[in-house]
Amino acid sequence: MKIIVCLKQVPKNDSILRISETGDWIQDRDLTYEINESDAYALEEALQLKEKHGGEVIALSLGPARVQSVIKEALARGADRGLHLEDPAFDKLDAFGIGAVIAAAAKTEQFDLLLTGLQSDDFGFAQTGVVAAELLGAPHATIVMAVEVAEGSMRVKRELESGYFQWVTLPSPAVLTIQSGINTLRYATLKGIMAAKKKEIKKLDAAALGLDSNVLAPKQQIRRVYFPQKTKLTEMLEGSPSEVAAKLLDRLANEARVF
Amino acid sequence: MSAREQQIRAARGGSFLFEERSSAEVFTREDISEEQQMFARVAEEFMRKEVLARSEQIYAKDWSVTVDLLRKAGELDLLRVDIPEGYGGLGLDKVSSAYVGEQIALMPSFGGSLGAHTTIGTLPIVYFGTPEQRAKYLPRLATGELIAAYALTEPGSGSDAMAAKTKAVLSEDGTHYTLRGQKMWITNGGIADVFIVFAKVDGERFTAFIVERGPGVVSGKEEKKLGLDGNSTTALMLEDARVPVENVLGEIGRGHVVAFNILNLGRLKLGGRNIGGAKLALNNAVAYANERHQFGRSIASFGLIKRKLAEMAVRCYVGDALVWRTLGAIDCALETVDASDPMQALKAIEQYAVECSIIKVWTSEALSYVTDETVQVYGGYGYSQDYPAERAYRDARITRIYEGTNEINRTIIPTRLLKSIARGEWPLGEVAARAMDDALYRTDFGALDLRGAEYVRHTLRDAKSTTLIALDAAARKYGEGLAEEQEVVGLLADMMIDVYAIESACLRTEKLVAERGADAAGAAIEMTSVYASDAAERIADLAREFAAAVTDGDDKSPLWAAFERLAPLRPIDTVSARRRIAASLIEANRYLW
Repeated sequence: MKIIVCLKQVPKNDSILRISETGDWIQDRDLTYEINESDAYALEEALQLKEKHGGEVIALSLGPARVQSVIKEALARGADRGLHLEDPAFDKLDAFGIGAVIAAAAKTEQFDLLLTGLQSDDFGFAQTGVVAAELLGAPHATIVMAVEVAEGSMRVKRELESGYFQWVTLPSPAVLTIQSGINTLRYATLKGIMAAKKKEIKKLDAAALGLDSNVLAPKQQIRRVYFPQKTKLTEMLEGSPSEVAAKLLDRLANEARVF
Repeated sequence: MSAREQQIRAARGGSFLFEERSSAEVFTREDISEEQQMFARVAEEFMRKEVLARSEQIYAKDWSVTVDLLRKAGELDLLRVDIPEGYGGLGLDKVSSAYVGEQIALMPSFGGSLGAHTTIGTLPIVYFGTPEQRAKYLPRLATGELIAAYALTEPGSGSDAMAAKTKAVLSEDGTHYTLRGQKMWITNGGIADVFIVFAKVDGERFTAFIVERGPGVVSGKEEKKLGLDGNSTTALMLEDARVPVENVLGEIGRGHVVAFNILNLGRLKLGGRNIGGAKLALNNAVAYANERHQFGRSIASFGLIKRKLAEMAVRCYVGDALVWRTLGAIDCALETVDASDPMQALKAIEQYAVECSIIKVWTSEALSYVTDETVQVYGGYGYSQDYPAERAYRDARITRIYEGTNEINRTIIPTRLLKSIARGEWPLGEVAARAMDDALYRTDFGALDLRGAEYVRHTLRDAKSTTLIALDAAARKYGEGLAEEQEVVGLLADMMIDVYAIESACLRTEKLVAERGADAAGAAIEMTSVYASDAAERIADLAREFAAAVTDGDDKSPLWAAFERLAPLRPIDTVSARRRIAASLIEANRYLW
């Protein structure tokens, strides 16, 4: 089977974040980057499916030249080739735009499965995979915990709320968004890194994908980014010990929602 | 000439005192390739996720965990780096090898186990093994199926390794040697399967052997050590151990060649680990200083803490400049020899014996300084085993002792150079006479108006002249007898060490400025100027002590006049410079170079 895995490069989670001069995002100088966490699990799932069923894993990433490092990382871990979607027009895309570019790129391949992580660690929209699926007219499942592939279809386990799970059967080709922690990530090996140099990374831009500015025009916009303000508030609860205890319990349950 | 050819030409060992370098000619940490960074990332991830996660078991001396982790490291190819391709290895360059090695400094105890296996345990077979020995052992050392150790030191012979008492006697039928004796301080002693053992054939001819664990090969009890308490270190008793004649490593009577050449490589790689450890300690110190509040403010806001943090950063920056410059030079030299002939490779590396010893001394002392000041920044908590400063401090201490004590390495530095001068490789007399003339008739004292790169270059030239004049004076006065004047040798060594350090920092920074601009290199420029200013003072002081010793109190000697004219005037405000260096650390909450 042919599997495309979408990998987003995000700032490392111990980065010191500063708001950019324009106030609508963070400064990108001094940042170091890594593979988005749930995307790494999607890659691992793809590699394990390939080991079980054969086929090919294609590592896809969208962004400036620096995102090639996540593609190379995936190639070092065992992906077969890379797709790098790069165009100045892709710089400030919203989730819909990103989904549209990915869908256009996926159409150039006869894929059986398109995997993304559940959500990105920077924006956290959790929409990219779903948007791409809709634009491809393919079925999708989100928050996937396990994938069982059969001839022409697959059974997947979805995580619901409160410890419930759901098994869904989908025909292929399909799009799955993968939950973190569902498998054990492998390390790249030094041999894998050396072998990755010989693997192809194909670059596709907006023109090659036949995307015009209408499709890419943002449908939503971040207007301002700011740090949450830390505030402290002390409130004295009055009454007898049992009244105070009841009030405290009420606050904890209904305001702080710690129960 | 291409940049690469320029580098290869410039890379010649010992050249740093006699020639002027440009930044395009040297390798710096900033030149590490993306692929090399990926190699290192594998090692770092392995250390963080697998090794550090098992610290408790490792420090409880559960060596089965160490063995498992070494095999796991083998699966990731981390043990194959220095082994040639035909023998299950990757045959990578020394920069890659040292960069991977730097990551294992995350836990020096485990790093000791892995380093002993891959460097002193494996490299003797890589460089001196016969094709049969290499085919038999290297593929299994590459995976960690076999674990290796190095057994040179004995109870009665440490620095004087050639005085070993362990004896090897050939059997009557000529098929094997019987080894008898005791070895000390064997890293991996309790877990190794294969030992590189040095013994004297018939009590006379010092020879290396590959000894497999078996009857008559007995490990002693675990040593109780000041630091590195998470790796197995034992004595090794050879009680009539039978070693087949095929396991003689290198030539009989030429064991010293094996022992000393392997140490050059060990010193070089230790340099990378030392500075790696120093950077870890510094990062801890910065984070703690930012977080710890006294008198209502973070202790990082106090001048005396800033001064410490800044000086720690200076040592890390200069240390990396030294280490990577030398690694790059050696890789360049290795490119010019036939890679399939290990003897040629060793000769190329041996050319850098002076630089390797400088790196050993400088980086181990930098690590000691940084880990000591980290304890101080942590205050009372620095003394507690619940905080990382305490263990780092203990682990650092051995680096000034092993791989040749710093005293032995200090004696190597000037004497090795003087040997190559005696062979006619460098015209010391001529260069020193010119430096003396220039000093006595100079008119450009001052340098008071110089800053940044110009200031550092000026300081470097004067430091080199001082050192060349001193070397020449010592060679003339003592000749062959210099070796007995160890204190004088030590003064010369310290001057040479600082010259190499100033120059390496200077070149690293000039390259940074050329590639990224002066703004981006801001703190690097400050760190280099601060180091150059302090080192120049040290060199001038050493020169005065030297002059007093070699002129027998004759204050009319031109040495005094020359040294005084070459002595620096302090135009740099190092107090403010250190404040600015500290400010950049405190803002980033870590060391960024």
